[in-house]
Amino acid sequence: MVAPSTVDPETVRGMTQYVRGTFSQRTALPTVERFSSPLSTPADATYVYDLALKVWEHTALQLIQIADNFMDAGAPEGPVIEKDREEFKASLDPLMECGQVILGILENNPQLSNHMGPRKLRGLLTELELAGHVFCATQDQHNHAMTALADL
Amino acid sequence: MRDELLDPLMVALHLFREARAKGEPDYGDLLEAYEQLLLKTFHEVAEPKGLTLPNFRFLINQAYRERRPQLLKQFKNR
Repeated sequence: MVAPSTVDPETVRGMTQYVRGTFSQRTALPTVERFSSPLSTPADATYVYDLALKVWEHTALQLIQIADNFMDAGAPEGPVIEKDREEFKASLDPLMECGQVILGILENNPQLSNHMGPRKLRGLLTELELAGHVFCATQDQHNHAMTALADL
Repeated sequence: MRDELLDPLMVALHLFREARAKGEPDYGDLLEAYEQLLLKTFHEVAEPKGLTLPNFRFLINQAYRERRPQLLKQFKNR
């Protein structure tokens, strides 16, 4: 049980707004909407953070899976793939930004989540960033990387 | 980079990624093991040559992109 004094109401209020603003356009989260007023209890705070992290993790794993599938397909080139890359990046950037915000808050308030701690979140952020590198690297960049690696 | 340095990194990265994709609960531990190996290799091999850690990660990830089909076959029946 989280002691009430360990939850900063301003932080929680900001986080709730951020979660609602970031995810409501993409994913149905009706249960977050019930917090129309500032969260008043630690249980409410934990609930919102856990919900946010579950949605964030689910979305992050989906993007990572897309990058993995892309690799399995042999990383093809061409205009269609370029469009896919743009769309991937358009999803990745806000997700990374949101993850960084959540991470910053969790690092200062680890008691706010039962679902995921800062260490795992940090690891997933790194993986997500790498998925972006894999998906968005052109064949030239890939070839250059392989040459650089061979020179090490 | 020599195979004896690159191969363990590829395997560690692959095992972690597969565990994560399957939703296995220990994927966080495998990620940590991979990160430790990555950092050790970075300090030994890449940092002395002036590479940054993000650049090194990128190189390793691109190597994984190339080797993934082979690793999938290698670990298919495990």
